[in-house]
Amino acid sequence: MKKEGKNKAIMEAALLLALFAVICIFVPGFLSKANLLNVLRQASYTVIPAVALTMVIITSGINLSLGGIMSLAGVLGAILINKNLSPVVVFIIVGVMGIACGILNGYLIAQMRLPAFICTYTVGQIAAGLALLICNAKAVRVSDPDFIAFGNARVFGVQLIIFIAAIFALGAWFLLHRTPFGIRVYALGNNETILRQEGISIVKLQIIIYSLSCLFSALCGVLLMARLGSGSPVQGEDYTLTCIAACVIGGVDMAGGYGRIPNTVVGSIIICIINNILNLLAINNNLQQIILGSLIIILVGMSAFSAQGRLKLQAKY
Amino acid sequence: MRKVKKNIIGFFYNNMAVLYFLIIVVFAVCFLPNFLNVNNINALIRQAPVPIIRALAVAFILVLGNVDLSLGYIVGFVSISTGMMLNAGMPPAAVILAAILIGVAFGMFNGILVAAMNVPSFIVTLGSGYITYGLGLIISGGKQYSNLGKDFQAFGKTKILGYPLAVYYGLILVVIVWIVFRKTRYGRTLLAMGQNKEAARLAGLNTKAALLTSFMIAAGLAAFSGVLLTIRANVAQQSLGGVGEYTFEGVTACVLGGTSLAGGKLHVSGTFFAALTILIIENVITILGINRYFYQPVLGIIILIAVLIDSAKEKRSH
Repeated sequence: MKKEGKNKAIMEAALLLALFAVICIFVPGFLSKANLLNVLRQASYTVIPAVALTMVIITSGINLSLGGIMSLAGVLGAILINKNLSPVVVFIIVGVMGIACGILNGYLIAQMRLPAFICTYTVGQIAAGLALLICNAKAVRVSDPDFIAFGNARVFGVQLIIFIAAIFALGAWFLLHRTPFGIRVYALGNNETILRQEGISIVKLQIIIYSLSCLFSALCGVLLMARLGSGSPVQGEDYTLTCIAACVIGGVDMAGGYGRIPNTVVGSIIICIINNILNLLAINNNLQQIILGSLIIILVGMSAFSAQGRLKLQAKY
Repeated sequence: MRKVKKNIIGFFYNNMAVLYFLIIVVFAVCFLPNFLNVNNINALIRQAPVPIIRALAVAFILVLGNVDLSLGYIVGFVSISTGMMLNAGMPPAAVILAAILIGVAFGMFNGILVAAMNVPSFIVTLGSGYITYGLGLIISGGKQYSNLGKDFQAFGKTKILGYPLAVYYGLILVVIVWIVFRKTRYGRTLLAMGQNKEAARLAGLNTKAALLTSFMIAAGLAAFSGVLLTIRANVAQQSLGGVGEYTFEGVTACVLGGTSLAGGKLHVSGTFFAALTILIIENVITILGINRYFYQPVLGIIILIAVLIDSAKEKRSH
């Protein structure tokens, strides 16, 4: 498995470099510093939920409530900020909301053994519905200029959010690749019995993993709202698919058991580069949707074709 | 599989949806004076076919433990295509047939990817939903069509015994689906697959074909509901049917009706009553003047409660 993964990674890296060269040559305006920074900034809002989603997918799960939670977090956050609460408090409150969603998801999936996609889909719909409800379907404009300034801040000319995303990614990387917790995450995706033998509660583990994913999504929702300057009840809509695509491009196996944080980060950046290129080439917005949708089907389909992937997916679905 | 409790409590235990239906009706009749208004009831009856057919479509997907997130987008695409086809002068009968076939084609796309390539259904339909939406916007140029013509509307609006044909379509489809799942080999194949896919395959049932056709039937039903919706609203537009929420509301009706989210268990009559219950809940929310954005979270909570109740019943029967 490791060797297969390594070869895969090398192939992907080579492909990427080749593509990158082609892009730099043929797409006007891509190589400008402003554009590249823009892409990194856009990617940041994908990286944050995606790195936590990676852990979920590794355990053979999925979190379709990502987008709904981001929307709810944005709206809730905007309302709270407008009530003059300190930003720290707002992040904490929204974070708690995220964790609550995660606990709900984890409980339904681990304890009640319901399929992950339908559970997270439902919770996501509830969250999205709540978002529309509490703002009455109208985006909530943030009245605190300092908060908006924070959302758009730059450090040494580079947007702050990029550094924030890097911190989230580092944290996720550390958790997944350097702690016993990370080992358990991989174990859950590869060989559950080991966990049972060690006496580790699988239910608790799942709940924690989903809580992390929902927490990251919620916090990202507030950060996104801070940049936009308003809490839109549909701001998270496209992020579910985007983050899944980021993970898939990053080589996270949909059947579970394999995935690495750095790869997911690269995957996020690639997705945003694709979006950026499509925009620079002035491709019709609707065509972009088609491309994104097709891309993810193709990528997962390709991974499903690999012998191991097919066996695993068959067993699961 | 069903407990044989030959009394009223037993009946309700096995048909919770009927109980929910009665509860909401009693609540509405007692506390909402405007509910029993003839106009209101007739409006409800006229609105009923679409949620019912929607629930039936989703049922075909859920019974196999899958999900189809693209149904709502298919409805939108079908709606806008009927508008375009009518505008181009196609006869209504051909338009309706074409609309259903279009739906089936999208369903086939989903089904092939899930059945032949083993891509998880939520990925396929998440992607295909986006594709359908984009396609719809491209071919329609973002336009919508209204005043779709008397002949086209006659398909759904012609009244028999005081009620539009659409209502009868809904009832007939419920009966047909009930027969399919109770009496036909195909229906039993689906149920067997839902319970244990490997066992069904080893027993010689054609699981791949069943999987493929389940998506085609679901999409076809959804397309049909799209046609009825377009007729009733007399406008063909992309967002008809509530794109994202379409699947969700269908799932709510199925779950409330006793269909298991994990697959293998399907309750057609329950789904029917559950769809009606949800329709009435929406009506109650409207009459009470409650913010209509309460509707979606309420549906979500209903799903969760229904799931909990169902799970408690499962535990009891062991």
